[in-house]
Amino acid sequence: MFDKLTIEHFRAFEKIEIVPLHRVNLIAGGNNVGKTSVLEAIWFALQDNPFTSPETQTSRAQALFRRSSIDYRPHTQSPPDDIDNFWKWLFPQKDTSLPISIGLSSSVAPLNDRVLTFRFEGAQLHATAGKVHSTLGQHSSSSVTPPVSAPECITLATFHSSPVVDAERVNAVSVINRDDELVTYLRLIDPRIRKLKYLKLPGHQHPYVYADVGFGKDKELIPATQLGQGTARMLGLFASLMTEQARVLLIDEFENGLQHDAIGPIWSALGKFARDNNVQIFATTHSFECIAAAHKVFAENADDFAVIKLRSDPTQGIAAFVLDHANIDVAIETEMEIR
Amino acid sequence: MSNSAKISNKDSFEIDSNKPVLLLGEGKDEVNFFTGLVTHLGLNVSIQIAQYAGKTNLSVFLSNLAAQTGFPSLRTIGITCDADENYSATLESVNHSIHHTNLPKHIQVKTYILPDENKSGALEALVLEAAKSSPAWNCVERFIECVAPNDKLSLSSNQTDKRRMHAWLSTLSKPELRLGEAALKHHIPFDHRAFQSITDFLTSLVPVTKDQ
Repeated sequence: MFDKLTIEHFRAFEKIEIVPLHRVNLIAGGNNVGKTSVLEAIWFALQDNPFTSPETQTSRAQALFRRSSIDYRPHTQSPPDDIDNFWKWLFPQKDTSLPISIGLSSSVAPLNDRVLTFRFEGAQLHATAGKVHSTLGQHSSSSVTPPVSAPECITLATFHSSPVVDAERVNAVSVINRDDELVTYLRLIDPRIRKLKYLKLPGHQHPYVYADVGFGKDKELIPATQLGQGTARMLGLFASLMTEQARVLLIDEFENGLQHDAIGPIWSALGKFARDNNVQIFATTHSFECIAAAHKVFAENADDFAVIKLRSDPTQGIAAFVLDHANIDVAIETEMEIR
Repeated sequence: MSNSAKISNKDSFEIDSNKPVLLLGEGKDEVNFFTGLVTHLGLNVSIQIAQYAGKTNLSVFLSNLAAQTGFPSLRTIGITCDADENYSATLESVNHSIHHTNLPKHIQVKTYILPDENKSGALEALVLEAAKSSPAWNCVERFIECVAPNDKLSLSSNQTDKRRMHAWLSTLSKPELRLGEAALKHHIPFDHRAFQSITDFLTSLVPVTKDQ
């Protein structure tokens, strides 16, 4: 688990240090303060080679985090390695004179520390990424492309997957014999769920996931898409995390599309999953209800959760404040704005 | 109040970057009281008011302030706190909270322990001093004397002040008001000399402009 994030000269950040990181980190702050940029920075830092597949990387980063931002058009005219339309925007005000540096470090496991740098030399953009050999103080070069499926690989919950994709993920979970475990986590959100089945029904083009929720006398299976929206969303997410063995989960705008009363159970399930599987979660939110629900859920494991409040000021730039259980308690009690 | 009960944050406190002074009271009633007094004094253009939910939360509350969007524009924080039974201990506790917080140097912090310097008691004691001039005061004292023999528990002087406060508030034209609400609705005689010291404190929080 990482306990420190440093970002320099990236997007709107001149220099920011976020410490200590927790198992579940909920990023809050005003509009356009840089919440999504923090996720983006973490995502970049976890890539073993940001240039491994520029088309894939830029498309994923843009499509998942910034669908309507700048004039990058991943599937149309703009080439995916368009420096002006994508890569220069990673630098503050497109000022490429200083390098971007993003670091993730762990005091417990320093050998897993990650550092990413982007710098321009003339018109050429260079990146150095990968693990830090902390004893030497040098970064390993990415000249040799490592496998994409590094242990730090991540899953992005903003990705709205299809029921077909989710079905394949659930099937993959069955292959590794973890489907009971998957049901255990989903039951924290919807206790009716007894079993999941990957089925291709006659007349259907694709297999889908069906759930036994004890419906009717014959315990008729219902399509997983008919479960609550939060449950259906988490089905794909948990299955993806389990099959990819992800260690970091990034969620942009956590509360999007969720009913308020579903948020608490989802936090319960995510929190248990994160603890059981050593996953670290970074999520952004605009919602006080989302913060309050997480605060309540994690009260028994208070050390697992913190709100990272970003504050923007015209003269001082963007600063980050880590609000722990006591801070959030008092903020709620005094009705202080913490979104 | 439990956190779970407070699921809505619609009236949440945010630092107003147009007001350089933040005045802090222990609870909601204090916020209302000081809002009434600050407005009466015409200082509400510069002073905003918030509560820190009791002495034990002061340090954490102060550390939370730094995360607020308007925090860099703050110049002065005025902290009020009830002395309760021990003025010196309260002052020491407040100072400890301030030093523990590491507020930036550009922010000046001033403290006022209620009801007044070197006195035990709370906000109520201050208001009661002014209330003694009201026509109903004798009735309040007679009420206190009347109920005292029936007390099964011996009340502290603070608790007795609160009893007096409730009795006096009930003599106002709107008997249902709490102290803070009475202040907001102009029922407290803020021009009374009893409020001179707290008035001086509040005035001292506001930066002097060149044309003053």
